Amino acid sequence: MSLIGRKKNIFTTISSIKSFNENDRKVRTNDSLSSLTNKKDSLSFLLDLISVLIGSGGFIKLIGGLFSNVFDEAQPLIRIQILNNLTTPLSNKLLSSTSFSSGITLPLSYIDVFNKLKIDPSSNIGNLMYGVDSFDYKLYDAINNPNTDKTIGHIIVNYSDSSDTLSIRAVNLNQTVFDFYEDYTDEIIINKNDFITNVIDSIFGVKTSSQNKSLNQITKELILKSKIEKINNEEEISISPSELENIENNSKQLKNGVSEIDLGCGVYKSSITIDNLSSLINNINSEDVDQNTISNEFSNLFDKSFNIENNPDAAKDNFSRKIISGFELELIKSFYLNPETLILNYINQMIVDGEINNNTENLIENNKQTIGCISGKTKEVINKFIFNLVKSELNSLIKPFVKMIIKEKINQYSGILRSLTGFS
Amino acid sequence: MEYNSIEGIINGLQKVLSVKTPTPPIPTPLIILGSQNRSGLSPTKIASRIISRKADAGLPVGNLPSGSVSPEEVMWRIVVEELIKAFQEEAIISVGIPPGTTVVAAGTSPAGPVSTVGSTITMTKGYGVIQ
Repeated sequence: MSLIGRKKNIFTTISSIKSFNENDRKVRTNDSLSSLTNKKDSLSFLLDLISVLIGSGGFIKLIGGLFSNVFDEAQPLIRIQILNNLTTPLSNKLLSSTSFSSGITLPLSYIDVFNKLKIDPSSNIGNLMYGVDSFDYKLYDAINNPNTDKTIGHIIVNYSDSSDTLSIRAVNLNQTVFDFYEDYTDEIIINKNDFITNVIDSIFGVKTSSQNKSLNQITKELILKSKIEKINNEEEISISPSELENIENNSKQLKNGVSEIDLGCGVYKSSITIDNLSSLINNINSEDVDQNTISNEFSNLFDKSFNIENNPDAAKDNFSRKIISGFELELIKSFYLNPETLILNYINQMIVDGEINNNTENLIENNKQTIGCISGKTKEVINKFIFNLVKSELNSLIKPFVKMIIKEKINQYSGILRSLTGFS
Repeated sequence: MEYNSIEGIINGLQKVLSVKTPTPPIPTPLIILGSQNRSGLSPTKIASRIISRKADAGLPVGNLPSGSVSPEEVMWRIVVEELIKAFQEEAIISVGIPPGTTVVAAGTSPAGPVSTVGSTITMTKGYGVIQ
């Protein structure tokens, strides 16, 4: 049976069990579900299942788990994935005997592809983007103290303001390439504030529009995001002219601070502010916050941002779907396109190839395989979480159905025995 | 389980949805002795039970308000009659008997009568009809 046929079969089975449980004997075929036409997208299939099993509100429930458990569980797994992709035949060599022994010099633009590192961490938006003592925070400090050696984890960084470049060398050259990679990747930590800000930004553009970026910068960033989305969807990376036109239109909107969002039942202007975002982050990013609180905070964010009178539940479901898809993409993007991973990527290039690939325009194309692997790991963690929720909902749904079948079998069996023995 | 592929997820869900409720076997002596007590299939009895249960589905039972016979009830009778006729006249019942059935046999040899106890070593096929 085809993939679409198998998916349809699952929805029809669920629908028929629900009908039996509700005693209305009416099987709905759910032909309108988007995942039925989208062959390989596992996330949209799982989300459609959540929608069928839990109904409106199921997605908001998911968001709480994603931003707590899944975010924490994904990080070490993706770090291992990055390390695995870096393993080379040179892994057992000492750093001192590789091309990286005297360090590398990188233009800042090579590693700061989202133009973060010149934003003041104490500004309103900067406050949402930097973790205290994070790698990026220390890099910002190095940029603000040019021509000074700054030790950040396992590397020493020196920023030259005249050439806008970073000189990078290893703290300890007497370790093997593998040990260096392992120690380095162990410390790649995605800051949760920055992560949440970026997920919200991917939908509302609130950060992008408040950073006074040029139209060209915004367009470049949107192209990078679009290419990552294509890798995640297992599509060709190239951007078609019509896609580019859409990206350019979006860039203009973001530049002007206008963000229109299609919520399925109409296009709405969002009125989210940096203060709303700041309040969301403060309320959900503390240690004792549970999944339900996170879900409620996202629900409140929707209520604050939109004033929808016509079918607000469907609009909220579409908003939640966007947050969940944004979560998946941002996890890939945050891990691969952050300055810390990009520096490691360039160090690896120097060790393996003896030179830096200056073709940064094709950053995504050149690293398609690694990004594909990170995408696979990200999908695995997110899908596992959603699958387990689907499974538990299915088990609750099936329980009364199985009881009905068992009762039926007992009745049939005793009926057969009665007919054979003559006792009625 | 492969969570990052759509095939893996579909396989996992199909496992959850495949409800298995095994049926206990009926003791063989009971089948042999008890089957003689059965009355056999009667289209009239079956059709009348179906018609009497129409009320369970919220449908009216009996003649139409005009007094004429309900064509739907007549149709039920026709459906059941045709099904039973097909079962009785066209159905094929094949019975497969696995090896290992205990056999007690008696016979003669030049030395006189012999008896033996053993078990069948081949699969056997049987036929039947629905009555």
